[in-house]
Amino acid sequence: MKNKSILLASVLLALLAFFGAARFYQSQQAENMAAQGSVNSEQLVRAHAPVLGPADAKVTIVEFTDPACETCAAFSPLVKGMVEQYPGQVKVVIRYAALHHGADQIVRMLEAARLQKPYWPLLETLYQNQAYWAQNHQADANKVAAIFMHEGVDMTRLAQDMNSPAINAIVQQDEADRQALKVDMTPGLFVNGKPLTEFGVGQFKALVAGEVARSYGQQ
Amino acid sequence: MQYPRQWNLVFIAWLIALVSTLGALFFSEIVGIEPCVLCWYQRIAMFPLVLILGQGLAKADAAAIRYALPLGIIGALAAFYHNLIYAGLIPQDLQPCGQGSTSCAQIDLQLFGFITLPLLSLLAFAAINTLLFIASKAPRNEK
Repeated sequence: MKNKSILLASVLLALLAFFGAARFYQSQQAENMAAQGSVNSEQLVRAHAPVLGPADAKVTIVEFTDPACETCAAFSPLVKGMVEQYPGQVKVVIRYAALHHGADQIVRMLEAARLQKPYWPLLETLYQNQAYWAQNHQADANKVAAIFMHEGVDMTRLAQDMNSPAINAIVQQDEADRQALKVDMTPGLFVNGKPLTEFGVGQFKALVAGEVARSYGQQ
Repeated sequence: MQYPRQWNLVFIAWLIALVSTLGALFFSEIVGIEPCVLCWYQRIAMFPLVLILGQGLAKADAAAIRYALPLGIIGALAAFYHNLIYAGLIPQDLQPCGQGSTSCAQIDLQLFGFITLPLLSLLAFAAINTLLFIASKAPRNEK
């Protein structure tokens, strides 16, 4: 009986230490991120980045996305929905964090297709057909080419554009900013420069609502 | 299992396994360091020790020592190999996990300039094996 009490007490103590350390570490991280977040506004929004919503909206959501990322696809309607939920007050900026294998090629293709067709339907088509072209976390450029061809994109032009200096610059700039802002998981979300420190649908909605209230007063 | 000496030896080994297991989970789940392939082999050897030795202690069954030792030895071998890679004694192209997203040669955490996770792992396995070995040599006149 005494033995079992010692064992049980040890397990409880170890678990307590574990969760204590976890809480401590997470609060430290949140503080660090909050401290560095708003300083880097220039790295968050670049002139080349696609924007959804009015230019004069005071609340800017920046989403670092990977077209091959499943959570990004699941989060996309929610992020875009914010523009409708707060008309005139919120805009969304897309940046790339091509973390999946081969995803940088898909980003190039998407940016090249953007020169020919409206951007947001293209991105949505990619997300919706993700299971087809991004199996086992491997992005398949040939399958994306088939999708874009079906969407009426001129593939000869796309092949020329996707390795042009302009698109090279976009890919490199996004990758540099991604590293500087330490976005190593997607989607990487920032609202008015404040990073979403704890990931989740509720947390994201609360962060946006808080910034809308701060910028436009209580509604 | 013999009281109190043998029980205490196994208990200390179990404590080391418990702390190592929670420590490994802390670094992967909370800090977010992704375990490489070799880390996983060491985890596979370490995590069950908590249950096997824990059950042995609860039932005061010395047989648990015999069941735990093979795991401890395999874990120590994997940790030893990992430390060789960290030290640069085994060339890059020989390591078994170059293709994954996490390289076994990449040092994610270093305390005081020399304490790394594989070193902690090797020390933990070495201590557990030593304790279990001494415990297994204790006279078994009592069951």
